[in-house]
Amino acid sequence: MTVSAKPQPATRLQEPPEWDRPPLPPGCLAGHVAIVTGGGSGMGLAMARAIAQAGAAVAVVGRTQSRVDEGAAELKELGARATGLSAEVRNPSSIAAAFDRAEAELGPVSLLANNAGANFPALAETMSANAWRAITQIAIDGTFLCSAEFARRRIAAGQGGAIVNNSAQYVWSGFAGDAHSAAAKSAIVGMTRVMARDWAPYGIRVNCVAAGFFPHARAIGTDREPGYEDRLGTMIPAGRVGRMREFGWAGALMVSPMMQGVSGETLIIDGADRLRRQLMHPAFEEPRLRAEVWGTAP
Amino acid sequence: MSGWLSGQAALILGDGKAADVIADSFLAAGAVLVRNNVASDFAKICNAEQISAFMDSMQALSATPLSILVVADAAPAWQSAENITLASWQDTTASHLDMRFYAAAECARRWIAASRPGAILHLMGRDVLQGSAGSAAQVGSAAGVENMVKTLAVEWARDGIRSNAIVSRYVEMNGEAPAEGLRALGMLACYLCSDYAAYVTGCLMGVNEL
Repeated sequence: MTVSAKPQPATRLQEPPEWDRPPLPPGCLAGHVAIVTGGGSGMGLAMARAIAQAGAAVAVVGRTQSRVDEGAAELKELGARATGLSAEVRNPSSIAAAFDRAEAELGPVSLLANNAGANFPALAETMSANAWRAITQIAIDGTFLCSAEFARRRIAAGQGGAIVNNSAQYVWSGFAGDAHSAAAKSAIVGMTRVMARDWAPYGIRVNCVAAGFFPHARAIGTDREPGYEDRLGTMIPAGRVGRMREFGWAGALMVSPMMQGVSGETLIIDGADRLRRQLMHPAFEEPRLRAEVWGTAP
Repeated sequence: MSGWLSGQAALILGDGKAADVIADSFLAAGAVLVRNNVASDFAKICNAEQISAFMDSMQALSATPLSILVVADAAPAWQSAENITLASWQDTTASHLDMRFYAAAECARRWIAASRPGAILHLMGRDVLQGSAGSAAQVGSAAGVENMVKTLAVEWARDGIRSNAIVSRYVEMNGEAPAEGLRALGMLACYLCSDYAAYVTGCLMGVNEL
């Protein structure tokens, strides 16, 4: 079937409200203390900021002290109580020490946002064991170990709590050159369901936000020329890349009392990126022959 | 969630406790509400003129242009597959699948013509989507809705029209669902239809389906 008249492109792209109009009411998370791993920059910092915006005290946790300090300083500028803690999420002792320090400085930790992660393009046949472990251990082990530490403390205290995990929209499909992260992010969705079930009797909710393309200063490929993000947006059905505030707010919403009955669920926030499939495509290009393994931006 | 839906008008088609809760939540979030509880009437619609007239009648109930459509499941009628008559099969498909498409497409036509964004939310039971004995007609329709939600999300994304679904056991539990679960369902519906979820489309989400 042919289409006789080519419709004009639509331009009604929808934006979320600005940072100064958060969805959660002021004080919604007052009295809570949150640990946000990977919170020093990018998506983790967005989640930390959104949680702080709702009134929680936040411990920004990451590997690099200077970066978590910068993140914590940004939250303090909002008027939040915050601290930056260096920790290695693959190491249970380091995690326990971070929880101890967070509780000593801010009080009992009642919310956890698992954002620690990393990614880089790599063909599977050329990926070293170290490269595989670098990604899977941060995301899978890190999410598991931090969540388990959080749950042990909440159960011992006889208190509930809420966890939000950071996954990705490609967990249902994977994509070439990303075996490590595709596996890791899928594991996080699975763990979300199981942990929600394990800890439901203790009043601990566990949910997940599966994100699409949310470029940030430290993301691979986003340090290019001006207008690069706009060109990335043309790839996505919604017509734009994700805004950090809408990702952060989604995470804050999931740990908030407003979603008190929600657990074991994954919210996909990707502008329909994962659904962008046509019956006809350009010829398939073998990943190992591509100029860039993940493909070339428009 | 006060103000999440300020300035918006929502049409809720179908009935049931979950639809009632969403209606209450939308009102609390500042939306203007139009409801049509008689899903069976809508199921008899079978051409463009009828659906257009129906939407005209719904729009006439609100001075604010409709910008949100919620379609709830019709009540299930369990029957073993070998006993389902052609008429019963077609009735089920009409009420569970066809009417959802007709309503969504008509709203989208209007929103595109008016250059206005919109949000569509389908409400479905979890068991009917997962498949259980005696529900062949509903399961076929529900699976159709699942992929329709995703397809329409892509088709209308550049028009600013979002297409999502809540798939929950609380829909099927109707009046026996726990208050906390229903409250969460209402909150989730408000979020998915609000500007805060501007980047959420093609998503099917549960409430607490453990």
